Amino acid sequence: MRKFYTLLSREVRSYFYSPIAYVVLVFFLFVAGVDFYFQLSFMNGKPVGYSVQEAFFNSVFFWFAFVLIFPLITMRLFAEEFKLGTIEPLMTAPVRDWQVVLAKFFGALVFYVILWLPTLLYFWVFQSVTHQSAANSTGAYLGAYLMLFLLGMFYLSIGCLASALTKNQIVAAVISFCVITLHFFSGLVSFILSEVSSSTRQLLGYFSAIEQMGTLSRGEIDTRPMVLYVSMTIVMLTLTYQAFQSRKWRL
Amino acid sequence: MADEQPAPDKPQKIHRVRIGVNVLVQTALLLFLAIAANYLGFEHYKRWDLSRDQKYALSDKTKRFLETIKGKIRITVFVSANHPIAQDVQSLLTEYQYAAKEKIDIEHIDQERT
Repeated sequence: MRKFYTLLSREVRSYFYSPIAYVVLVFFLFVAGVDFYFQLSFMNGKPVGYSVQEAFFNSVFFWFAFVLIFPLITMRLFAEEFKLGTIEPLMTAPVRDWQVVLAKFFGALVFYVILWLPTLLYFWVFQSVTHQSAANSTGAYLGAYLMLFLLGMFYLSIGCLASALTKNQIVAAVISFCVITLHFFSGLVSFILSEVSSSTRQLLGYFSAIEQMGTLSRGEIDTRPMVLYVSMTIVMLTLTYQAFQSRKWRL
Repeated sequence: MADEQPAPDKPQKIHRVRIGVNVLVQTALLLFLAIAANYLGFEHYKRWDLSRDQKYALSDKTKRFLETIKGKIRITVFVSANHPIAQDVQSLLTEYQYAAKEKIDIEHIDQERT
């Protein structure tokens, strides 16, 4: 287990040695800040029926930036090592392959959590300036950030898989971008249908990230997204492990 | 030279096809497991409503009533999408659908568009 922690700390540190981490951090937090500002200005105009926190997590601005960061975070995870040739010492070192794969995934996850922590500041600032709560209840915060965590976990695992499949970082970024965007926007289907039977609604809602974010950011915690995203992350990570290990035996 | 070097072993063959088939079978089994877990999770789930004023929660009476109805209910909605209350109506109807589990169908008719 100690080898795993060594690998993990190596991964997290290597994130902060590369410039792309800082670029992603600045870009993402800038967009999030602008989004927060727009939402607040809109709410200043006329009274609305939802809370600040719901507005922030359900806007188009937010989703756009959200989907874009995953390829950027994960594209270098495996592809860079393949290209630079540092994969050989890594594979022949006395660490198991699954430890390598999981260390890279959790390194990305740690970075992702660090990326999101400053957004808590937005709500805190709002509350200290206006003396009003930004959300309907603390349960809503839990729901929203839980959904972010689950969805992030799943998209990061897709990025890991894309990165393990190729030597070229750009190809990895494009693959993961396409898959993530497709998955994400397939969740919009439930909003454009005008006639929906209950079974269709249940099925579509199960797979729709946007709808799940809507319910969870209102404070209704549901176990189904948890099951869905944890299981899909495990599937993606296992595929990544197989792809990673296949270099030893494939042609 | 006291001893002769023993003849070096032949390099071990990598049974690619066997390993490949093994990987495919493992992946197929894993996918099956994931689908099974999701199917179970889809049928049996829990929802907690942590919002303070329970804005979108249905009362217990409503839930019990929904459980006792037999046959399907069809709800036709005549709210246009631009109306400020449309979002709330949609959320409430979604709650009804989740609570009734299979029995409610919803149809939206927008007068401004047809």
